[in-house]
Amino acid sequence: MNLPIVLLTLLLQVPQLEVAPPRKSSVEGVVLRAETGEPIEDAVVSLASVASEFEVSVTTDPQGRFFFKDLDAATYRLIFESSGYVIHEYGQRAIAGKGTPIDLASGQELKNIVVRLTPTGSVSGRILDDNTKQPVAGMPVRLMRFSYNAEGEKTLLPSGSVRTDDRGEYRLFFITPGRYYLNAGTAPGPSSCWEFQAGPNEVREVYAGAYYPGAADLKFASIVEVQPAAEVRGVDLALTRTQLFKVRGRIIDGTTGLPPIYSELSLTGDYFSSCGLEYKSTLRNGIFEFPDVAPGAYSLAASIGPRERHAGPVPVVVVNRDIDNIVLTLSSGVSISGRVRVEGLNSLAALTNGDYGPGVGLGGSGGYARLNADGTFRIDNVLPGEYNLYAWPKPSELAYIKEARFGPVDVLNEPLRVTADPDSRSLDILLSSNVGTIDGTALSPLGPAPGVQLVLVPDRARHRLNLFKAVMADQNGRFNIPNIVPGDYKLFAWEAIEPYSWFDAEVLARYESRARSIHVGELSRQTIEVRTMQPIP
Amino acid sequence: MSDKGTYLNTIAQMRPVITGMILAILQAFIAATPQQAASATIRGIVVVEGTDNPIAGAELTLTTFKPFNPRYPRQSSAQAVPPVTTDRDGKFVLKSVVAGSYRLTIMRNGFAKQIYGQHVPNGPVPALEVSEGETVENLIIRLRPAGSISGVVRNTSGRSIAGVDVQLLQRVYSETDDRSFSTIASTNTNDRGEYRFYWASPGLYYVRAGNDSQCRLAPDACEQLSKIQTFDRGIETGANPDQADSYRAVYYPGVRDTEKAASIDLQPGAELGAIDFTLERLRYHIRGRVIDSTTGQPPSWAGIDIYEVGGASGIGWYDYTPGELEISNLGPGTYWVRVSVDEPKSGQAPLAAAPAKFVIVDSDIDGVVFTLTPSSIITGRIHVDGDQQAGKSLDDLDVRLVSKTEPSSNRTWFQTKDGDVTLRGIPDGEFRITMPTLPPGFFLKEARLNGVDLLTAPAALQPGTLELVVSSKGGQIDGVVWDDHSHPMPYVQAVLVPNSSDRPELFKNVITDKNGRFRMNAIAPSDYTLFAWEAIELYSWFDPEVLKLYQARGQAVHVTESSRQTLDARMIPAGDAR
Repeated sequence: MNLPIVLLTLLLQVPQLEVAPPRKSSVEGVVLRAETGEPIEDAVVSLASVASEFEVSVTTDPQGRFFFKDLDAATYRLIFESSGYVIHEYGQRAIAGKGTPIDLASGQELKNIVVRLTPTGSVSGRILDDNTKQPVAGMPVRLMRFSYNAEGEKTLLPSGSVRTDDRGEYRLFFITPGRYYLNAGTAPGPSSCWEFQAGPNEVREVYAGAYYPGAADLKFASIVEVQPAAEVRGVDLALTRTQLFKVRGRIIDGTTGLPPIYSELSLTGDYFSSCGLEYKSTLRNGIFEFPDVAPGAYSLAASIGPRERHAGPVPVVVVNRDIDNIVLTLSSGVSISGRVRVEGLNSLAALTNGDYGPGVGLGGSGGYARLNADGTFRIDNVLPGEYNLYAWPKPSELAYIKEARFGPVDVLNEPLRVTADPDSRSLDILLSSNVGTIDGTALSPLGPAPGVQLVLVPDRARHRLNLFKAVMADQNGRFNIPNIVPGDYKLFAWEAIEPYSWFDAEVLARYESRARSIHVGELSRQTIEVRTMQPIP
Repeated sequence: MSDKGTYLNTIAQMRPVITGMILAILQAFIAATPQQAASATIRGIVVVEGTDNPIAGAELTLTTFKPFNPRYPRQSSAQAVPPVTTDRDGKFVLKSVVAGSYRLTIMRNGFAKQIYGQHVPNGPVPALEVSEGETVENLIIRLRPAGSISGVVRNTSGRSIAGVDVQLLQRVYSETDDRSFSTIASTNTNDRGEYRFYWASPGLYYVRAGNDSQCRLAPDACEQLSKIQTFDRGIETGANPDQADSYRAVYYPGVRDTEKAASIDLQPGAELGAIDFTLERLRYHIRGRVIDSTTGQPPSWAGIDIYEVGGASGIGWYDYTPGELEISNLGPGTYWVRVSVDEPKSGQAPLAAAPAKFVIVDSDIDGVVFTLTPSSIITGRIHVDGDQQAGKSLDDLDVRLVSKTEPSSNRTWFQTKDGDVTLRGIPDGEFRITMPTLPPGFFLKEARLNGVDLLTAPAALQPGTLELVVSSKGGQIDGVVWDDHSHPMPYVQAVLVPNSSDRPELFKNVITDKNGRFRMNAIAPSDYTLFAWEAIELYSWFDPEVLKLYQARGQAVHVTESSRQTLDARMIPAGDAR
């Protein structure tokens, strides 16, 4: 036989490599009660794929064990729910913190996941009429807590509400442990917004809202602290009977001096009244009336079109009588002109981030404008008020505001004030891309600390929330903080901390002495090691 | 002085004179206007029923009168004068009341709401007539103290369950004679399993507890959030889960059958506690496959109708990716499952499987195969006999199957569109046909399936053609209701009861107007008995036991097609024969 042909035939008969089918994976573990370590039966454990809509749930057995099988390789979030416990995601270090997704490989058998759930607490008490001393029935009672969001704004968030029964008694249960304010009373807001419907035999009674132990103003309220599994009893409150009032006034169009034909008004309550009364009307002589408003603090605003003319928002506080004679003047605002210069970049064009050319804005809905090619801009329709300046692309991405002056005023460190009079001052802004970077490793006593929260806080200018930078350390405890505005900072590294609570001065004060001082120079790059801090309750 | 100057000076001097003249004219005009009609005053006192104890702080509201309409028992109307509140002695005065017809409502927290003149809850209310300049003195209003009903809900292991839906119900008789409940109030148990209904009017109640709402029975039907979405939202709002499990809903003291539910008699001012429940988990499932017999494959989509005998119904959606059907969160019980393809690919006949019955005792049901065939279909048409124009609105009419042997399976299995009728998936059993939502002036004259009458007598259903005839040529009765003293009686109940007890849809009921008159029309030709009651619980005339008490007081009526007759009816006074 011809050898080459034999060889060729043999080569052609090389067997195909078979691709093995992907192997299925499994996840198992146990759910225990925090502190005591008791197993939790009937907890619902859910595995949810991050990339697809796949979800599967199982319940724990009497030994608290759970088992998932026949899973595809993917990244999953593991979520735990059980009646009487705070909801939990695997990897969360603090309540409301970020969890750690699980990367499941093909054929992996992930075992020994141990999760401890924190038991919830309860708050109960009685609400009485402070005049008759009789129980107040059907009155909403709410728990609220202060919370920060990613922008550093502090808001009071409702955290559960119930109504009192006919004995004036209430019970708030399944409460996540924490520090709360308790509020009871008719919700501020028009009667159409109230949280609960009246029963068939019920006459709605209106009581002025108050915070435990009896303050109308949050400043004088006491904290109600709920510990895990705690029953906080006797959180009683006496309320004052009141009535609903009217809020009345007129709108004038500032450009004509006459009432507008049409305008949208809104009366929104603070904190827990997410229901604002939108009162669209063809006004007769520009007169408006909100007929059934419960006592409380509100903001009143009016507008025509999204940005044509505005009035307000003005604060309106309803206490114990009707409010008359409010006059809202719709104005189209003034124009603010200015100019942006850049340092450290070849041109403004370098700031373009995709479709968004560079621009300047006044925070708090003051308006914004794109930059012209020469860096000049004009923001129109700015209503009287105080604003924070911001530029985009956001500082911390490509450039930061190094200097900003509105006439003689340094508006980096002071708010930008606009009046109703046309303003000839120029808003001059200097942008710089000479940012600094920090690389580093977070270390715990046991070595590099993965998943730790690092926050760089400006040393003195704490009011400039956009200077805060928060990152998390990776699996190896390594972290990188890019695009830092040059200046003096303190670096905090927490094992476990509630997200965004670092905007709270009180929280920072507890850890200040153990934070590390860092100076970030223009275009600097430094590598550091930083020790993590245990949470201080 | 120039003339102009003289003229101006003259005007200036005359100005006060002119003003004076104008004022004088105006005053004379006002004096000449006729006096306003003298307004009326209503005075009275509110006391606790059964005592002389006055009730302070009761709120009285006077609204303009609207005749009672049983379809809308709670319609509201405008306030005539601002509401007043009783003083410390329980006394009130309503002033400046213009002559007219009114409704007076009295409420006080802790007492049952009262409408002056109403004898029966949700029943008719005569108008409060006020004449010009009249003073009504000493109106006595008696309020009944409200009561409370409370209890604890536990599971079969004895542990209390949080977040369970609990409802306070009252029995109502509906127009189609289905015994059903109306929800008066609903709440959820707290973490101790406790619930409490307060300020409930005295009366008979039923309580239902359980978490088998539609969304828990078939989560896909309710577009629930994914676990991740629920979790992230929970983190934002601080909400923790209350109860993930489904518990079968039962009526106190723990039964699923509404006929066996125990009534709770709430006396005025009573505190009824320990209305407790022990609930079973809904932990079973029915699993299987669906096959299109014409292709041998699973259909790309199918609609699933699940109905629990004596319980809730829900919709499950068929997930075609794995080709499997799963209905979960079921408890022990009997279920009807119907699978159909309503909108097949073009050119394909609609498909259905006959409704299948499953009995779950203490385990899952797996491995079921639903075979869809084109033949388990009934199609038909609605014809109009008589007024063609008025019969135009044939869309959205319900065609119902009614079974006497299994009344809880009565359902609107049919779909109607533009006068065409379709039933996919023929149930087993013997049924009649009714059409409860015909437009006014029409009655169902004929219902034939493949020629077999389904209007007057039940029969088994076969695939084929359904002919329905809807007629505007019904009989009409005009009448007057009189009391024993020959006074015409306004606002009382007149009811036409069919002699054949098998067709509750033939009943007619109206309320007499203010002259005691009534009219009934679209009456199906048949033999009836006419009754008139001063005060009777709405729809209790469907109850044969109730009718027996009044048999001798009714009047025989024979109705033929397009007949018109005038009748006098004798009213049965309240309190008689009971």
